[in-house]
Amino acid sequence: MIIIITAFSNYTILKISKTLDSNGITSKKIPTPREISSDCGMSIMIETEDLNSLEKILIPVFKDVEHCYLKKEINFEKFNFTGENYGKENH
Amino acid sequence: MIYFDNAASSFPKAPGVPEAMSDLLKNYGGNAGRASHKISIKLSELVFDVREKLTLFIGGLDSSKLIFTNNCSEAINTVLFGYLKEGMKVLVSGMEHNAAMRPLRYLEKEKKIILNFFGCSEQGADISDFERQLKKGIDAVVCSACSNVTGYIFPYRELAELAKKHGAVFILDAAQLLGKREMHIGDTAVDIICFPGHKGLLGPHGTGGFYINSDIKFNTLIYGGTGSVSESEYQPEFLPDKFESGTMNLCGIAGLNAALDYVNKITVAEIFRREKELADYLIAGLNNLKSIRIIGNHKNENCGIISILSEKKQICQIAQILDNNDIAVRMGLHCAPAAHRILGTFPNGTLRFSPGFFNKKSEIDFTIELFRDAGL
Repeated sequence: MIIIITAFSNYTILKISKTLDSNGITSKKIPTPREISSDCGMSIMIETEDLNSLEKILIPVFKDVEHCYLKKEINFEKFNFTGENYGKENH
Repeated sequence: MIYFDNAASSFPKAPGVPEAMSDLLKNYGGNAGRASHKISIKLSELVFDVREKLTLFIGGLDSSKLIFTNNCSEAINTVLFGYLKEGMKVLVSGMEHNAAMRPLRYLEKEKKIILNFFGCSEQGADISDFERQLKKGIDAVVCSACSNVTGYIFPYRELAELAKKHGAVFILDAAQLLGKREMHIGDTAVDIICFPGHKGLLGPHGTGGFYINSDIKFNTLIYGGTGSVSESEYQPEFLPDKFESGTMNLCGIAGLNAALDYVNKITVAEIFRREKELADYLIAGLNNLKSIRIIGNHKNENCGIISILSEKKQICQIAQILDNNDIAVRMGLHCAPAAHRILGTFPNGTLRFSPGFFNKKSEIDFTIELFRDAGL
């Protein structure tokens, strides 16, 4: 599945990206999709099937994360890594 | 050119600095943090990396609190105008550079802050008087880490501890010391350190910044676009964006990146060893000249800045002789009139040597010989 992570600033995007890099998670910085934010900066895209591992890696930078989204075919579903909230809020 | 004016700006710059700056100008358009194309991301990563390196360099723990400015004066102004409010009591050393004194004098006149001075002399700071002054209910202390006139290194760790004990914020102007001594301020009571990138760090002009080493909050001096929360017309409160509106000196930051890599490779300890050796050699040479008097006590901790006077010639005459022989020094008040008042060298000032890491003993020999030939 494809995860999109947004943050309030480029600084925090880069900080999250560095955390992912240092844990061997491949990520890509992409233009923030218009459907999920009006911001002009970048977001992080991660392709993974292992949300549990991703969550553990992101714990130190959770405070920097604005939102996490699951990319669907035509939209994005916001979730907050608690499992039960997956897909509750559509954009 | 023999260059003894490193206290004004280091020269030559660290190897790799001109190349890094040229590479950026030739190959990287766009703007950091303003788009998500490859070049913009590359520039954002550059800024992020240098921010992290600098934070590590000063022993900080959170790189979001490392703010880039265009020089140390801008850093000091941002902090003083942001933090000091009407009626606040501020304690300063009396040896301060105008980078701090001019904003402080403005704030004294326009915002009615109250300035207090702790005792200083040619021998250094009077710590007993510092603590005595703190008992007046001081809100903030503004102090240089090192005098740009005599090279005297203030015991800033001790002063910051005392300030903390008395509930005052401690703002450190590290213009002359960062890069020349280890300054791990993370474990000190220093609240904010302001620094240039082009002096001890051997980076390019137009670089500098400050690091917030505590939880204190204050307003920014410059408002505007940050590339973040663009839907809002209000300045973001989060760091570093709050203090970094407008396009940054990316070319300078690229140069600073190369400079930091060089300084980290050489190590500050080696820079200190080499510069001390040169300063001691220069002092020994000057001490052999009967008409020369060295200002300040160089038996104390010193960062290798040597101010002199001559009984035989005016400092402007000596500066002219040196310039005629392609030797660069600085003459005058060095933007620190307060320091010269304390040293008894106001209003004429002194002739200042500030050798740097790249100087050679042979250059000092040549200069001392020239002094002899001039009858000094």
